Amino acid sequence: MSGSHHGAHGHTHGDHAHDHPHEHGHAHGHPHTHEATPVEGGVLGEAVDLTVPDAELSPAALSRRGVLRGAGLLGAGLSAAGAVGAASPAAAVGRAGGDRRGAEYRWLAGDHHIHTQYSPDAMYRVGDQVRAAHQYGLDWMVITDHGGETHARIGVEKTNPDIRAARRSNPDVLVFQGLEWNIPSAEHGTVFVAPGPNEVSVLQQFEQGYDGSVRGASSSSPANEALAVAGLTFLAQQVRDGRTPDALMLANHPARNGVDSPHEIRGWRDAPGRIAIGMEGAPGHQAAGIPVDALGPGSARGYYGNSPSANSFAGYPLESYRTWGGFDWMTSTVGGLWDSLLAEGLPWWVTANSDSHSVYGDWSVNPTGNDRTATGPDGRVFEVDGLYSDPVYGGGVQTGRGDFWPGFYSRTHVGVPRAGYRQVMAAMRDGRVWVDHGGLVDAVDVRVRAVTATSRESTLGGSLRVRQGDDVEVTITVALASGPNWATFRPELARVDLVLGQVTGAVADRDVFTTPSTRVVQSFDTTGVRAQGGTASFTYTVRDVGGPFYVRFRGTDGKRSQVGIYGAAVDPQGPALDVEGDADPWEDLWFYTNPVFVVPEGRPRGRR
Amino acid sequence: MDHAAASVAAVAGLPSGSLVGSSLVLASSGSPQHLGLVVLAPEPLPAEVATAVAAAAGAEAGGAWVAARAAAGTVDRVAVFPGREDLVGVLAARDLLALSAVEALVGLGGLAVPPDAVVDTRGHVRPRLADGRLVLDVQPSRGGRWVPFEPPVQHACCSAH
Repeated sequence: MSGSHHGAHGHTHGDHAHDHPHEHGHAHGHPHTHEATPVEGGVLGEAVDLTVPDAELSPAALSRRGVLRGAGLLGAGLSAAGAVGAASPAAAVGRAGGDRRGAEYRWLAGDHHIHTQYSPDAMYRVGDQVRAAHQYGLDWMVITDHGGETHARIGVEKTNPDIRAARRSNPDVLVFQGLEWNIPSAEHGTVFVAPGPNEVSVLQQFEQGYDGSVRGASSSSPANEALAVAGLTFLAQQVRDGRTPDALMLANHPARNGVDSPHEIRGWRDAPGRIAIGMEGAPGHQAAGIPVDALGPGSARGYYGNSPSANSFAGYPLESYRTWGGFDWMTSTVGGLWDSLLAEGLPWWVTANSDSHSVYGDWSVNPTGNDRTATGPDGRVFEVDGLYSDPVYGGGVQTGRGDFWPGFYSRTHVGVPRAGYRQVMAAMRDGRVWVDHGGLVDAVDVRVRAVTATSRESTLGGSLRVRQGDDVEVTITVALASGPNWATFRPELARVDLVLGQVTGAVADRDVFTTPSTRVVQSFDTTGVRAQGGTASFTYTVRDVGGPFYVRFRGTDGKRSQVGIYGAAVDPQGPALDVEGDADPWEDLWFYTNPVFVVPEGRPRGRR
Repeated sequence: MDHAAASVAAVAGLPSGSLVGSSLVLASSGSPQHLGLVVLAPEPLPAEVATAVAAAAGAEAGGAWVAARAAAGTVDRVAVFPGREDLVGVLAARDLLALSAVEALVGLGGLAVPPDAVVDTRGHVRPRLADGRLVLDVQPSRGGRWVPFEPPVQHACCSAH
């Protein structure tokens, strides 16, 4: 197309990013393959050997040491376990340096993203969702109705007695109150607090002060980005002041509309108090891609079917707007955004949730059809009363919906020393979390230890301190599904992949979303495990550790895969792009674990 | 932005062969990130068209930057292009290319689009200009068909705002 161009003028859009679905603009990026660098050689060398004073380091090594210090990976950072503030593996975990060998955890299944009749686009009573979660095996859950004017004014307050009642009638389920925050300048996020006398007032004050919708601050701008960080800072202050025992934030469906830029995610992570701890590795709405000819809604899995808007981050490639094996592109891409965060040596964890609004195959409907101004059978008007009338029988099975009940398909497993609200939150902050779809496996246990010092070990979310030059064993034990899932078939795990990446420290470009060293280093065939009794352990040894690194696992039923976005050398059998209108969630199951960090320091053993 | 493009395209006198679309304008001092209207025409615009463009575009900063990118052959999203009215229903890929100014189909995430691919246009085709070529991003769909990456209707995240 040659010729002159004319009139290329800008046009500004208002604050309501999501209200203008037909306005777009996108940049396109092509993935490129990069060579993985083996970690065994150790790239950081003397930089991590603290017995060598700074003055004796080469300029390059001194620079690397500075990077590691900045990331909290060296020296004081590691001994400051439990310190508040700095985001580092050391500060992140309760037991930096490793647990005593054999520490046992109870794994509690949960879901931090669930809606009720207090959301303008949902319908169930709080009690309905809690009953379902209990029925489908969840131990904890978070009620997260949408932030907004009505919710901030009245909904958040009126939800609380319902939650308290549900706690009493379902004593086996920990029911947290939270909200789905419209993050200023960005997507949605779960925010929740530990139960206490101020749980409503803290949430309400937060929502009124910092919700993007309440404040008209949804569009992308530096001022709105700052408001998001201010909101997290507010929550940290509430914890510090003892107004609430704890508060956490997780980014929901982060890649769906391309509006959570990498620098915003890093900004939330680095906000004071480590309130923001992670993101949905897999979004909810996992039934949305069931094909129409299988009596499904025939939409995109996770409702990930949109294209870029004026508020999207220009650097994201188009494939980031879709799910891959049911997971968000930030998590599913080996060497992608999640790995680029982990390669900084900083904690950022993934979860999997239902985002349950209205359930595929259920029979009930919202009597007002989600009309916020309509009067329901019992006289309720959403905009006036803050909630819809209770669901009524809909006259037939509802097949146009994209969600599952909590616990039915997506589970976030959290390892706690004992059950309790604060224990669940502490374990989530520690990253002792793995997730699965469709009941793929019963249990996953990951342990990392130095071969010559096996009395200490680290598990998910932990940081194992070893000596430089140590050999490190990474062991995963998987227990296959012993019985049927909620689709009433027993899934079969086909393969487990070990992903390993070097920790390279803080990034100069806060918008980077790739990291070159992370790749799948080993795949374990699990098809013979059933015949061996259903449980098996697999070990990978990292020889002669020279620099900090992390490991994480994923597993699959092996039914759908394609070469990873960064090529076969990085991920030969990654999750496949989900097909819009043809994504049966039960025929494509994965689990993902959070990482374990390994940090070598000091002189090698046996050498002086 | 489709409305702005349509308002320009509706003016008699828009030179045949013109492209009307939009590009993302990154935030700069005093101006938030936004979409910029782009008109690429093979000859100077008649006064009435230029007036319509100015009316549709507003007066935000970033126009020069968008214009420079467009001149270099990059427009993020093109709503008006030769042959667009013929891109309806289900089409063989070769027919889609023959009927319109779209020059190539690009598979999402590096997927290869076979030459005998069948594309369900869903009545909504928005290609982009890349290196001076009009290309359409497509993704796999039901029954082995392909559909454009951009859906006709975006899924609203919730009705709260």
